[in-house]
This record gives sequence, structure tokens and C-alpha cells, in this order.
Amino acid sequence: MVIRAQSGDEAVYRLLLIELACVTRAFLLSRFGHFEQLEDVVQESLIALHRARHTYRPDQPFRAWFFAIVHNRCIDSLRKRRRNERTQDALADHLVEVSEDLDTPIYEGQLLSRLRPPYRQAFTLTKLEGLSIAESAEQLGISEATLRVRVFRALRMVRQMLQADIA
Amino acid sequence: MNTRDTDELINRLSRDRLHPGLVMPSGRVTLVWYFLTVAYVTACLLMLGPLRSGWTDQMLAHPRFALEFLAGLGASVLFAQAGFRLAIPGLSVRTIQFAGLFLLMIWLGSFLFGIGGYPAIEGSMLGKREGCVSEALMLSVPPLMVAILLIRRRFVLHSLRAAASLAGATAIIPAGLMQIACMYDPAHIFTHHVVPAALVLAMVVLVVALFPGIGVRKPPLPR
Repeated sequence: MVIRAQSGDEAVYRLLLIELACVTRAFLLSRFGHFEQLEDVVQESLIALHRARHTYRPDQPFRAWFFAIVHNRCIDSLRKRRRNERTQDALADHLVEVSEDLDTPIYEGQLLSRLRPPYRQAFTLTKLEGLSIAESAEQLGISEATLRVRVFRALRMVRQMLQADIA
Repeated sequence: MNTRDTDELINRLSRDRLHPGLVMPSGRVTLVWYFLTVAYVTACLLMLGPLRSGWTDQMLAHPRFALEFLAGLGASVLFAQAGFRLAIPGLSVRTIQFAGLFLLMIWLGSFLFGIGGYPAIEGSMLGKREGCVSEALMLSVPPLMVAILLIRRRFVLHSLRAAASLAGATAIIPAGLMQIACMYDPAHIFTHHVVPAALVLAMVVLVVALFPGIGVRKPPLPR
């Protein structure tokens, strides 16, 4: 299917992208649970797959090629997420929502549920909910430095778990 | 964004008629790039001055000198291979990088051993090149540019690792060939050949760390 898509078969390529979108969505849901930017990550992954489609060779495993790209886009998006698209109003809404329902998005994701609660909370607030370091630290009642360390470690653990899953 | 946007995106992407040709296997790219680079650096060294006389006899008479020389060039092949593989998603490079680091340790370790009083061959001023530092620095720049152009057509996910691998490979080649082109003295090799190579590597890593998108091509998406 990939080889036919690479040779310019539009219909096959369309089918392939639909299938890969579903797989990416399922992958992200199983690892992170439902989060606001899930569809954005799916779309960024599709764009990356499109731009990288000429690098896939039939003699290499498709799964490793595909998940390497999705994994990379996923980590990138989570990093960018906090920097981009945030307004003060949405932030205020988030603060209320997060404090009321902090653990729901966490436990939906198998991957995040493998993190210890302090790291999970730090990761969810900063990377999935999009709060700033200062806001998240205030939310959790810890210093900004401590939160930074937790976010760094959580991100590293998530990356390791994703790599282990792909491997 | 929602799933309807995703469907629209899929329609747009699937209509893209511009299908770039498949990339060349990374092993073949590495070989072509490596042999062209070695040929280019050797030709430049020969144009700038003669190779040290008697280096072939020294290589045959002193296996450690031959091993040292080959370890350096071997490390550069492996780093180049790792760099080109890093520009293809999903290809593993860990074993290649470890093997490259192992050879690099042998190469550098042999010089350190030499500085400590046990050189691979007797140190002498024979064949000394006046501009060996600038040659080691400047000769690595054009092959590095070619390597960057080659990986631009690919899809680099780990730009820093890829850049470090390719810069390491490129910088080691002139430094390694200086062992037969310039005077042999471990301390001189370290300060005049290895340090410039390390500088090239450090500069490339710094530039890529500051500008992660540099050298990464993003073709426009279809409307």
C-alpha cells in the first residue's frame, strides 16, 4: 500500500492517510488519554508523514518508520503546546477545570498512568493543559524550580516509555 | 481543530502530485560521500604540500601506527553512516555510534599513550606542514556542506545528533590524513590536528543547537 502510494496512486495514498490517522489517534489516546490538542497532533503527524514519505524504503520496517515520526511530532507538539495558543480567558477557565477534574485525563492514558503522581500532575498541567510553569507551580503548591525538574523528568520518562513501546 | 479538519487535510495531502523520488539507501550515500571526501582532502593536501616521506614504510613496520590511522578513518566512516541514517526516520544508529565511539577512543587513546611516552612511531619534525591547523579546519568545511545538502533531501528528526555525527565524521577525515601528511608527534597531533577537528564539531553543534531548523527543508504543502 505504501509503495503504491509512493508511486503516485492518489486513491491508495488517501486510504493510507485515513488509516494512519486512525492508528495515530488510537496510539495517542492509548498513551495520553483524551487531551485538547489530540487532533492537532494527529494532523501534524500526517503532515510530517507526507513530507517524509519519500524516505521510506520497502526494505525497512514500516512500523519503526511510522512511529518514529509520530513519536517525534507528539513530543514536539507537547513542547510547543504551552508556548502557543493560550489566552488569558481560556487560562482562567482551565484553572477551574483542572482543579476540579485533574486526574480524569491522566487515568485515561495508559502511558501517563505509569508515571508517579507528582510527575503525572506536572506533565498534565504544563504539557497537556497548557498552564505556565508559574501557574502550575501555584496550582500544585510547589516551587517553580521543583516543578521544572518534575516536568523535565516526566518528559524524559514519557519519551523513554514511548521509545520502549516502539521498540 | 477537529476530525473534519483532518479529513480535509487528508484530501489536500492525497491530491499532492509532486512525488519526490525515493532517497538513496544511507549505506550507499555514506560510501559515495566518504570516498569523495577522502579523495578531495587528499588532493587538497597534495596540492598544498607533499605527504611525509616514508609513511608507507612506517605503516608496514609499525602495526600500531597503522591501527591508529585506520581507527581514525574507521570512526569517521561510522559517524558518517550514523549521520545519514539519522536522516531517515526509524533507522537504528545506536550500534553504529557505539562502534564509532569505540574507534574514536582507540584513535585518541593512542595519541594520549604517545604523549605519555609510548608513541606509535618515533616522533620527529620530518614532514612538518606550516599551515596544518588551518588545513585541518578549512578542509572539513566543503564536505560538511555537501553532507548537509545530502541530508536536506531526507527527513531529519534528530537534527543535533545528525549534525554532530556528520560534523565529527567530516572533521576526523583531515585530522586523520594529517597523520601521514604532517610531522608525527602525538602532542603536535593533539594540539594541531585533533583540537581543530573538535572545534569544527563544537561550532556545528552550537549552530544547530541555537538554530534547530537550519538545514532542514520543509516543502510547501498542497493547497
